Amino acid sequence: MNSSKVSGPAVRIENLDKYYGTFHALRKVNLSVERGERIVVCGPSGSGKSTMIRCINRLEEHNGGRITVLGTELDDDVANIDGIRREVGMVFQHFNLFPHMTVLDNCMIAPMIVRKLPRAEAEATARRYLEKVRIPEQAMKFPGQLSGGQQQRVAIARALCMQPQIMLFDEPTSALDPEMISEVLDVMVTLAADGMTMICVTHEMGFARRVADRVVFMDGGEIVEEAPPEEFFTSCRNERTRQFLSQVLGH
Amino acid sequence: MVSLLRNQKVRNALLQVLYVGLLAALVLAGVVIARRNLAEQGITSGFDFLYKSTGWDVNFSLLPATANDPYWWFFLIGIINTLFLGTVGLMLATLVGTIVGLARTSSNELARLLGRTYVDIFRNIPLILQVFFWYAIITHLPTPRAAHEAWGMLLTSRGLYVPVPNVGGIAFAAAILAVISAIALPLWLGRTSRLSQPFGERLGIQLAAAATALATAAVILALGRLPDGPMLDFPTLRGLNLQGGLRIPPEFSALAIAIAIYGGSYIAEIVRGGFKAVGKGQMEAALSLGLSPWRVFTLVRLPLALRAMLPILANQYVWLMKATTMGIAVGFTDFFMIVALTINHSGQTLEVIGILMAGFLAINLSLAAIFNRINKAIALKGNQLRG
Repeated sequence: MNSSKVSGPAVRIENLDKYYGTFHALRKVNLSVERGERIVVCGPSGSGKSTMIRCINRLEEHNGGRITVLGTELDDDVANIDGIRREVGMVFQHFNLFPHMTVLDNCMIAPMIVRKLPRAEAEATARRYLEKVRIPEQAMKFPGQLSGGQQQRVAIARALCMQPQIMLFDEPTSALDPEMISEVLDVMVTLAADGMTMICVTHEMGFARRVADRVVFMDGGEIVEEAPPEEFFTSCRNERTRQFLSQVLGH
Repeated sequence: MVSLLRNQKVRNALLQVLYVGLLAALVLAGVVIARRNLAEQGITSGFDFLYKSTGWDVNFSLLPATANDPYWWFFLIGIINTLFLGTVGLMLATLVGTIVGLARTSSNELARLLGRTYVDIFRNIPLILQVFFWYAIITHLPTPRAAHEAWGMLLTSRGLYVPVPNVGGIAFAAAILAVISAIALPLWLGRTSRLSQPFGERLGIQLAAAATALATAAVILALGRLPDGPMLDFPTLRGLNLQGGLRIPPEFSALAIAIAIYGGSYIAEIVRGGFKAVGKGQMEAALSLGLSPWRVFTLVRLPLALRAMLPILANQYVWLMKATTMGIAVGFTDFFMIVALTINHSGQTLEVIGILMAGFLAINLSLAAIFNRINKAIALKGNQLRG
C-alpha cells in the first residue's frame, strides 16, 4: 500500500452505521479527516466516540456505510485490514501493553514481525521513540514496573515505532492519576507539532483548545456539532453541546 | 511474668514449641506402638527383604526383569512404570485438554457445544469405570489372526503391536531425542530474540536446524543398528502368535487412554479458564499494530494464558500422577501394584507402605518443584498492571 502518494483525505467516514444487537450505536456518521489534521472527539459516555474510532482500524466491524483510510476502503478483505492497521496506530485508555515483554520488546515486536525490520534497526527505532516520549532509561523494564503515565507513554512509543501515518487516541488520559495526565498530553502536543494526523477521543478540553484543528461533538451515536476549537467553545449552536460543555468546563 | 505471656512474640514462640512437641510425641507414640504390635505378632521389621528375590514376575517393564530379581529392583521397575505411564498419560491429557479447551473458547457454536458435552460426560464418570471401559474394549479386539492393520501396526486383543527400529536401547533413546529437537529447535529459532533476523524471515535457519537434527537421528540409528534382522522390525503373524515389533499391552493402553480422556476433561477447563483470563485489551493492541491473528495468538494470547494456567495445571498433573495407581485395577505393574504384591508376598506392610509414600512424595514434590521454578521464571514483573 503506497498510501503516502495517494491523494485525498486520510480518513473518510460516510454514512457509518453500527449496531450492537438491536442497539444503534452509530447513526449515519459522516466525518472527513485531512492529512496532518488534528481532530478531538468529545461527548458524553455512550455517545459512540470510542466505537467510531475503533471502526477506523476495524477493532469494531461496521454494519453500514463506508470507511476509507488513506485511499483504501475498509471492507472484508483481510489484506486491506492488515494494510490499514499497519498505517494506523492506536493508543488505548488502559494502555494494553504486553506485560510479559520488556518495554523495548513491546516497541520492537510489531516492526520486526509486520514490517520485517532487522533486529538492530527495530531496536534503534524503538530507542529513538522511547527518547521522544522521554523514558529511554526504562527500556529494559517490564510494563508492570512503570507508573500509569510512563506506561501510556510506552504505549504511544509502541504505536509510533510502526511509523504510522495516522494515530488514534481512545481516552488516553482517562485512567491516569491527575499528576500524570500532563506528561502524556505533553507527548501528544509534541506529536501534533510534528504534523501527525491525529484523532483523539478525550475530555481534556485544554488539549483540544491548544492543538485541535477541529472539535467534533457526539451524542446518541451522531455527530451533533463540528467546529474549530475557538468557535466550538465560544459559540456552539447546539443545546446538547452547550449542556455538555457547561458540565465539563463548569468547575 | 504476666506481661511476658502477653507479649505477642513470646506467645507465638511458645505456640511453636508446643506444636512441635506435640507432633514429636505423636510420632514417637506411633513408632512405639507399632514396634510392640509387630513384636507380639512375631514379625521382624526392617528392610532386609529388599535384597531377597521376589519369586514372581511383572507383566510390563522397561528394564530387564525376572522372578529372581530382588525386591528393590522391582520397586525401581514400578517407579519407572509409573513415571512412564504418568508421562504418556499427562502428555496425552494435555493434548486432549488443549484441543477441547480451545474448542470451548472458540467462536464456533458447534465446537463450543462439542467441547462442553465432552467435559460434561468425561469429567463426571469415575476414573476407575473409564479404565475398565477402555480395558474391556481393547481386550475384545480381534485375535492376532484377525488383527486390524494400519501403517505396519497391528491392533489385537493382546495389545497394540508397533514396528520398532532394530537398534540398541540407548541409540533408540538418543534418536528419539534428536527427532524431538528437530521439531523443537526450529520452533525455538522462530521465537527467540537472540537472532538478528526479523521474525518470519528465519525459514532458512529453521530448515537447516531441522535437517541437521534429522540427519543426526539417521546417523545414530545407522550406528546403533543391531546386526541381525532388517532396519525396521515389523510385527508379523507366526502360527497363532505375533512376533517382532514392540507390544504395547492392553493394560497400559487402557490406562493411558483413560487418564488422557479423564484428565483431558479437567485440563480443558483449566485451558478455557486461562484463555478467559487474558485481557481483551492486549489482543486488541496487538491487532491494532497489524499483527496477524495467528501472531496475536502465539505472541500475546497464549503466553499470557499459559501464565494463568500453569499453577492450576501443576496441581492437576500431581493429581493425575497419583491416578496411575489405577494400574492395580487392570493388572498393570505400576509402583502401587508392585507395592501391593510385595505386601502379600513379604508381609512387610509398614516398610513397603513407607516406600510407597516416599516414592510418590518424591515424584510429586519434584513435579511441583519444577512447576514452581517455571512459574517463578515467567511470572509477570511489577505490580502496576491493569486492564
